[in-house]
Amino acid sequence: MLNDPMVLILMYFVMPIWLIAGFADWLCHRATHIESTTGAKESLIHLLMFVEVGIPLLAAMFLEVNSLIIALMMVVFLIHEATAIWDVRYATTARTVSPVEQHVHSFLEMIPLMGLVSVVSLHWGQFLALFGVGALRVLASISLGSSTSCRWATSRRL
Amino acid sequence: MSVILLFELLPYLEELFRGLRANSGRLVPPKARRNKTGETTMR
Repeated sequence: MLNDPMVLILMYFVMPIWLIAGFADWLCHRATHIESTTGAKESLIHLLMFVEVGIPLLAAMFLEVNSLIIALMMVVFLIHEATAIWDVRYATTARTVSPVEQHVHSFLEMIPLMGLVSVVSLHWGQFLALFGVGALRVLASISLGSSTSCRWATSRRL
Repeated sequence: MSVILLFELLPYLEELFRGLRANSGRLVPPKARRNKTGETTMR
């Protein structure tokens, strides 16, 4: 699977951009004195969004991606979008959201979608099965992944 | 995983504790001026 360009794009392009954008957003918060404007509530909303991105990320890394996992990723993406709207609605009541931060937000909102689309392209048959089309049956089990990407993640972790 | 924790989780945990410490454990600063949604957005 490491020979697949989409896996390489996910690991060495999408993930680093997400990390850089997340760190840049934290710098923007710091520059606008978040502790005296929107406070810890906004930090908690961001941690919630981290969990919402972390669930599909860990699922892709450690579980066998099938229709169930893809459906979970789609639902969590929509929840993440709703949380992002809540975050900006709250932030703009008391804190200046600069054009730079808005630009950073655009990355943070779209990177999960890039990740989701990449996973869908890697498991196209299971994605089609979700909608009852294609040759594959819906697989709705949760099992540890045996793919190279999973082994890669595990070996890098160790 | 370590890089994710370092760049995504730890900064926001630091921010959370900074916010709580600055406001005596309150989630929302009491003195912050509240506007309508979007009024502080710079375009």
